[in-house]
Amino acid sequence: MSFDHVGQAGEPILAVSGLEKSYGDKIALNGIDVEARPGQVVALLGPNGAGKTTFASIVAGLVKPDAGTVLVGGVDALRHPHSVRPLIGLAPQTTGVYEVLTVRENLTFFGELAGIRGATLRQRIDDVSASLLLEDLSSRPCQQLSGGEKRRVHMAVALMGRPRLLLLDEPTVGADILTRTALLEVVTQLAGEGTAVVYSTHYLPEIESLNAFVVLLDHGNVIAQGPVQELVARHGLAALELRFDGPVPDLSLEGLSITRQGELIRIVTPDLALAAARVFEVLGGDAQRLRSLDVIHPSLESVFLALTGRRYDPDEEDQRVGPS
Amino acid sequence: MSVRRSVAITRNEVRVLRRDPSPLIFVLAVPILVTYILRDGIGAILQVQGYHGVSGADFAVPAEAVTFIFFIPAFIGFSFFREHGWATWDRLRASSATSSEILIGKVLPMCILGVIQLGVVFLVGVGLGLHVRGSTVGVALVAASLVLCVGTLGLATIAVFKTMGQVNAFGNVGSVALAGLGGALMPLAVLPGWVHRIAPATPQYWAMRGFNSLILDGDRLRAALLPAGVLTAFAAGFTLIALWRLRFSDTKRSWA
Ligand SMILES: Nc1ncnc2c1ncn2[C@@H]1O[C@H](COP(=O)(O)OP(=O)(O)OP(=O)(O)O)[C@@H](O)[C@H]1O
Ligand SMILES: [Mg+2]
Repeated sequence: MSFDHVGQAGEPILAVSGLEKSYGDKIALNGIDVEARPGQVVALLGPNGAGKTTFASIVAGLVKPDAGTVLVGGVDALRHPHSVRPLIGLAPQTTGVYEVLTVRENLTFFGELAGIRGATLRQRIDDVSASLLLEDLSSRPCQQLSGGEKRRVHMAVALMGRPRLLLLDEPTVGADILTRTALLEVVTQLAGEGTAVVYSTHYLPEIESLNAFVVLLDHGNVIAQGPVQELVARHGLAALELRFDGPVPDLSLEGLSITRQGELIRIVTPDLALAAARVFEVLGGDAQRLRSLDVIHPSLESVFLALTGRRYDPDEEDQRVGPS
Repeated sequence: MSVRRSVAITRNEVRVLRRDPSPLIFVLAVPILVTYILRDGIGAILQVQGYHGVSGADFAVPAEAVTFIFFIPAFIGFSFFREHGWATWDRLRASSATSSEILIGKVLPMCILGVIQLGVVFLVGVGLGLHVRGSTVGVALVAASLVLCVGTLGLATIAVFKTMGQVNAFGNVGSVALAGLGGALMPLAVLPGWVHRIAPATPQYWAMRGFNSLILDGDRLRAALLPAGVLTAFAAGFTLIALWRLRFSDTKRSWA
């Protein structure tokens, strides 16, 4: 059997419905439904505080939800967490490795916990190390690794049990191009082999390169979901953003959707060139006060803009409380 | 319950301890060293108390073993809190290991360390003049219930405390204080009356009471029953505290 990333093959390995979780007054998840099928990369996308980590933590059995159901491999994961654990591999947002132990010792331990041993374990360590470029690091204590190297070990740990459902919470944080490429390649390869991957991130370009099924989260709500191209085609109009010194001029441009925010004018349009031409035609003397001109191409970013009315800002919720 | 997973966790603990074995050396070597230093002085005190033909080691060996074995609960605390510092705790929880497998895997090696500590200190103690006049089986019985008490106190420690600093303070300063109150630093007979009144509230007192009657007074196995029973009751109490307060989802603060 082969799988394309957006893939639809088989019954969902993960089926979440009506998931709710609040911390005090703070709603982290507001009744969300998410599915992941074998071979599918599901990208949980959203700014800080959107609820990505809360989602992964609940699925992995670390946090109890207030309401909703979580089925993993058809089994109720909330009722029978221990029966579904062998199916799940989790790489949490915070890098977690035994600092004083070597890379190999870390992988050995988590392999043993996953029930593999002997020659199988050694083979598994070699395979995982090879795919995450850890071969030369295997006898180094983790505390001597760079942040990106440690991040690769962190992800390798999650792969040791050959999970059918892989939960990766911002795997590329702090990773350089090399590490990032390796991580994305591994994800693509695992999906090709039939693993369902739930990949949370706030970097839009990664999702585009993974060709994932996107679940766009905002303040605990799913605001859109679908394959990248489909979302972009459906919601991703291009936009022009003009920023002025002082108050924005009163442009009247018939047929264009214009929003004004302080010193900013945003024009959403299917035809960038035409819109730009018309704007400059009517700007007149105000053109002198034009400080910047931004073009937002149809992309997940413009999808987010179209659906929330806000520019996508990964670091949006700066004053959040508690761990993320 | 998978024994294999607990064993894997124990093995991992041992790997971590191997990177910094100083705590192990500490609980093994220091009691022997202190026994060696205090032996003659304590011998003199025993003479004044009316013991004849006994060696200072007869008190000092069990006393130092008891004092220092109570550092193990802090080691148990470190072994759990360290996981929070390394952010491996959630990974462990998300693994196939159940809560009881994790507890057994982490606490058992520390109990084994307790057994080794008592064994080594008593054996070396024989070389320093220790002579058990009463029941050896009784000594083993008190020792076993002491280890149980220490292991479960470790569980209560991780259940109750929230930071590594608290574990450290309670485990180190606290255990020296309790050793003093329980008559494991100095024979109770030379301590003030108010200490006598509160001493029975400490597990150290019961351990010393058992060892003293079996080693110094030459009592038979029967004399071990009450102290071993009380130590086991302490263990039950600590287990209850752990059952009541221990939440795997609690966040603990490591040193950082
Ligand atoms: N333990 C907690 N206690 C209190 N509030 C919490 C806790 N964990 C998360 N929250 C809150 O729940 C909301 C969702 O948090 P979550 O960590 O799931 O977001 P996220 O999408 O992973 O964000 P980030 O991109 O910053 O990692 C946030 O508002 C956060 O402040
Ligand atoms: Mg997060």
